[in-house]
Amino acid sequence: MNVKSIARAFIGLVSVIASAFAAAAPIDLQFWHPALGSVDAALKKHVDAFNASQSEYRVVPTAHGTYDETFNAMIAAYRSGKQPHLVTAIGQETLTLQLSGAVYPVQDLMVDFGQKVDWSRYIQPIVSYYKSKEGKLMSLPFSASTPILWYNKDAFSKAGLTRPPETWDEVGDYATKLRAAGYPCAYGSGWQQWVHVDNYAFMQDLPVATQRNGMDGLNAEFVYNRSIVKHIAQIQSWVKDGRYEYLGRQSSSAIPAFISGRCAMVTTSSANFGSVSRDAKFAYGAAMMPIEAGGKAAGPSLIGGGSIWVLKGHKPADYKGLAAFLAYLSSPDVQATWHKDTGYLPSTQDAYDKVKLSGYYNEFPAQEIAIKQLLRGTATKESVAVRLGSPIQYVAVIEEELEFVWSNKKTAQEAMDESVKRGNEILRRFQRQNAGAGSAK
Amino acid sequence: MKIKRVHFDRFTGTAVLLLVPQLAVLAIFVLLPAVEALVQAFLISDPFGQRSHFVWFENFTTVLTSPQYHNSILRTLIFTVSTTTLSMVAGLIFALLVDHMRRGKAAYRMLVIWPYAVAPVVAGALWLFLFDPIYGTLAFMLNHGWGVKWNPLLNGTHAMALIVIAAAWKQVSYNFVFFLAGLQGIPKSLIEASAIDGAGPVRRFATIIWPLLSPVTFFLLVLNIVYAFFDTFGIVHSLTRGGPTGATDILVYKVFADGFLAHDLGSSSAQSVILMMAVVALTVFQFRYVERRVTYAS
Repeated sequence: MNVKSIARAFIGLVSVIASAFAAAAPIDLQFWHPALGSVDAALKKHVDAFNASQSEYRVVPTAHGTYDETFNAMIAAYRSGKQPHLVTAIGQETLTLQLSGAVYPVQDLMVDFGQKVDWSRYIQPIVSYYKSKEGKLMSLPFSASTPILWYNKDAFSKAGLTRPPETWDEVGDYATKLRAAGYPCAYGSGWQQWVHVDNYAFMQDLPVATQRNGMDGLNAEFVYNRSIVKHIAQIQSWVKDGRYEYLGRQSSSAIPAFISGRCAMVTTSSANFGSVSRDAKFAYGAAMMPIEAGGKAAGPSLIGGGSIWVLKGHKPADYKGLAAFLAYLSSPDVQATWHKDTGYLPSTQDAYDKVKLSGYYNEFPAQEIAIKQLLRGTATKESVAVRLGSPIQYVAVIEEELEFVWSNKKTAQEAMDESVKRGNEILRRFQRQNAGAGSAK
Repeated sequence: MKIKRVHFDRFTGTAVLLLVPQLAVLAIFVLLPAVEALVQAFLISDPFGQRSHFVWFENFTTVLTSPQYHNSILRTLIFTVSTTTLSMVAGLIFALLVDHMRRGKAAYRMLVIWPYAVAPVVAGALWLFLFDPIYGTLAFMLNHGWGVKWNPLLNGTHAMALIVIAAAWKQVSYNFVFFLAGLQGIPKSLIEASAIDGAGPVRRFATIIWPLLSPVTFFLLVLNIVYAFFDTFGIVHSLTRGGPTGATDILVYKVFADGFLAHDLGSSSAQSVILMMAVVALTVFQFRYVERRVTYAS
């Protein structure tokens, strides 16, 4: 053996080892999502399982604060060419993302990389929320929820109430009795704009805005000052006599107020099941959102929460991994566990059936309420989604105007007229910001 | 007064070389963003920055004609005056007390400096835990022990008080350090001499300490106003989000909310340019008129 052949053998060995390493080093796929406490751990479980199931890809989840903060971090990253592969965004930002030119529609991704997904097996009120006007699914429904009524059963029996209220008038009567039974807050709500404006209008098939709530065009205008004023006025009267307690903007205090036993009824996201079931020291129940007595049969409610978006600008090999990961997240097993851990809705019929057959809902009936509420009645053309621009700004305006009502500085009609006027200015500005954007595909 | 000036005629190259790092830092972190903001203020663009339209002064006129913005100006004035007064008076009182201590000065000094290390958002969260009407401990005491119907969620005055206290609390430490240094710079002999002449503590403060502190006070006044104008959006965001009914919607929070929460960079930039000009004008005014009353020791 001469030196040359030893050298050759050595080089050969090195290149074999190097290629082995190269094959072993998985491709990192960045997944940004909001930090939502216990929900993050529930998510991590599935990410870890996916990473362990194969060696080509490694999904790296990163929690980024609130939904807004995550969204902003993503925009900043995108503008400097460092965007993650996946981001969980709140449903209200759908229009912004659709017009951004920055996203790879999930439906295309799955087709392009050979993942066979039967979208018809998805729960339709969930999946249609994320479809473009032309019917293409833009993002993967994942952490969807809908508002429901959470109530304190112990408080109800103390007040002599045996079943949850079904109509808004009943909510008022119940609140009187609960106040008499010594509860400082009979009824309060999280996400007021989502509950009292969007969902109230939705379930009665009334428009929030023209153009099918914005689905059909950027020139949509708010019209909820014609549809929900009576409801807002009713709650204003409850604020006056202490039956409704204002719990702040967004969702801040609704669940703490419920879990601590202060509020006997709250209307807020179904995805609070995790914290309610863990922390409530009393018997709790959940019921469908109240409706107006004598109105039409209620339709499905409006969902909220997040969906997963795929961002453009990465390598084809990365997208292959992303398609596999998203298909994994949609499998009935993952969906069923995710639903049971967090209270988010299972997004497929198969996952729902699986959980149902296991008898889980007999033990936790509260968990099935949101799905039943979504599947009741039939969705009309109007009640598919609310697809409007600059949601953070217009929601803040509605919350501010509602504060004028709750503090009795304006009547419900004055405040809703003003908030529609201010909201329309915001929508017009959004329309100009996006002038020249290709129609959402 | 003769101005002392050093010349580097023989070393121009070296002088430039030595200045470059500092100038580069200023250019990248101060000038560039300011120019960027100025440019954005004349554009309407989408959040992802893919489409921009030049709109002349429209962003400025929209902002300046909006009733919500007028409300913001009023709220900012109330907030700035209250925060600055509260944090400076408290800082001065603490400094006077610590200056009088014989033992344990170092420990007190450190304890009073602590809040300065707390980030505004965290400070906001801490105050929220105390004063939230639903789960705050102090809120509970106010409502039950002292009969105040404390409700910053609907009462604008309560909400304003809350952000003023939180913002001032954070700034007290800073003021304390400077006032204490100022007090320690006053020659003891002056105070002793006036004491021998029969001046009591109040008289000594009014005629000797306060005038001699005036350079520090002036410096702090400028800095505290700048702080209240620019650095307090984190506190508002975590405590009130500008509510209720716009009662705490101060200008810098609007800049933050429109730009960083709602991605309306055009409007946000226009607002920050207006805010910047207001603060520059205010500072020039302070140096022109307020500084005349300041006595600098020779």
